[in-house]
Amino acid sequence: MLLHRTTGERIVDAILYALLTLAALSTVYPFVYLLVISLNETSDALKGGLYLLPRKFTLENYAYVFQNGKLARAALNSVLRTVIHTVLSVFFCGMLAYVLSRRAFIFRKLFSFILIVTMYVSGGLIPTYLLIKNLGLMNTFAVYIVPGIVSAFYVLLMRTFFEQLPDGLVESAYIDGANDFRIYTRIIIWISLPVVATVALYAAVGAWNSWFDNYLYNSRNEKLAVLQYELQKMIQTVETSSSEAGESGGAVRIISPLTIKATLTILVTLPILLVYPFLQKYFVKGMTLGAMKD
Amino acid sequence: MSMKAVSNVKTVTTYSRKTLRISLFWKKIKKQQVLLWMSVPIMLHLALFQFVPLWGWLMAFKDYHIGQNLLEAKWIGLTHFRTLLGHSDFLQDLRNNIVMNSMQLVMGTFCAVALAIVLSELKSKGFVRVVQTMTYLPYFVSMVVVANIFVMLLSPDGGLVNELMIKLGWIHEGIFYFGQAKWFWILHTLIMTWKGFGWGAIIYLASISGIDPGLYDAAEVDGASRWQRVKYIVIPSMIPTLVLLTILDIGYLVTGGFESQFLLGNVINVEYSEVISILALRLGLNEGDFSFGTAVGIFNSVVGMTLVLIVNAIARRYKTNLF
Repeated sequence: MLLHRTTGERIVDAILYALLTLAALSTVYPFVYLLVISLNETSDALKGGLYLLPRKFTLENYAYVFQNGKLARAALNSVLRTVIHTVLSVFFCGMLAYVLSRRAFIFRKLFSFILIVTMYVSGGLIPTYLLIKNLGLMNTFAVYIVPGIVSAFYVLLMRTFFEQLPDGLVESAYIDGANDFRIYTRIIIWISLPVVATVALYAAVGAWNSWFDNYLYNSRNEKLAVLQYELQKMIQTVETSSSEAGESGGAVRIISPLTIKATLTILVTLPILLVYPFLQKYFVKGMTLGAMKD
Repeated sequence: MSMKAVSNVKTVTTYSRKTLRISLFWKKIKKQQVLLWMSVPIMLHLALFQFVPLWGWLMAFKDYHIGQNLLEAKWIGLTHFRTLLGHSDFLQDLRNNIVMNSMQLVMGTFCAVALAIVLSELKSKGFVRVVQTMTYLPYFVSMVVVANIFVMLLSPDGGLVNELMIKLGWIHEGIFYFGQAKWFWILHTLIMTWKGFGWGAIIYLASISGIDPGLYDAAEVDGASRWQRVKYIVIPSMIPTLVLLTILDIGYLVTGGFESQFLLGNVINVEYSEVISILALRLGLNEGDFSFGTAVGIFNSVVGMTLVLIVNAIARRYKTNLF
């Protein structure tokens, strides 16, 4: 807009660039720092002074994590819960969304109302805990999948999208003799890629990042631990002997090596980085779609 | 005679209309049975996991112990809620809730708005994109990872922050930041702002990009300085979004928060880090007082839901007034 700038404006610009660079580095540097530590020899890393590059490069920390049966198992659990949750969540939320997008559907208003109520009403921690217990879901893998399969937010996102599809699409499929389930699984879901991708990413990031259900329901069965939970258990073990409200209790001072903690943190962050370009694109889309429903 | 005939006709028609409606309803059900098969099981699933737990709210009004039949437990009315309102931990946690959420709201909003303004002022689009990409990152990373990062960075032995401060000669030995109870609110606010400000800026950037370019041209013709342009065009363009988002956030001021406080808190800073949801977990599950824990949970749900509903109503009115 401005053809020539005054010295004053140049100085302001320089300050702004500097500030932004600082902000950007402050968000990224902690990850770099951990990466450096994770790539350094353990005993050497304890001496400190590692900032930008590993001093004694090694991959043994990563080898340790992958060879450690417990952590490898946790990684597998994390991947499994993420994949299963994402697939089922997209499929079932999409199915409900399709039904609610059919204007002639007899319970359209009623079901939509109930769905929206679930966004506001929550039984709370203890009643939910007791329900899970009574259903026999404690210490099962199913507890990662079953309770959270349907989310009102995802259903509303998908319904908004389906409603914008041309009506003729479904009508002509009816004429060809297809039923609604076929129309949903063979046509609708495949032509709704943007919203499917958005919901899939939301669901995947949510599932990958969760740990509290593990803490609450599955902490007695080590075989069901997920990576985030393994990491959570490490947070305070160095600082304080027992964690508040934790079941671990006691005064056992377990020191997990600095480098292992760093390695695990990096490994848990890595999948997020891999899908990052898509995340940026579709999360923003989800936010704007979500805003539209009001 | 004729009167009777008329009334007869009337009953016949209403009767047949009713049957007609019922038969139409069943016809429709039959016609839409595939849609019903597709949706009813999902609705039942939602009812099971969202509404059945509400049944457990009875616990808060009864003297319930584990292993007992909930229906047989003795009614004690509002006793638990009365105890709750006088419970020192509860009042302390309520304070922590309100203070930390308010600090986070103010600081987070300020940084997001500032970032959006600065980003919109720069001409180099490539640089802007890189900065955005970098500042979004912590938003997607789990709170567990974020808590781990900061506990490591601020660790008293070998943490980067202490290491640098010792090197610079500012301090002689490492400070245990999370061991200073009174610093918790500030640390928590800084960490949560770090996690969310890049993402928070998106929505403000959207409102800035919605500004009519003609306004900028007009301002330039009038000889407005850069600061005046920001003050009179850019900031006012963000006000509606700012007000709307702040109103919506107020719904969470009293009851919001759990994960970050749970992960960053420890035994030393518990007085300043514990929030109401953590109290419900501690009393209910770890100390086994299901009834009292549920009462705490109900307070949280009811106050939270009421605030959210009020605030949504206000926001909706505000929005319709706006557009």
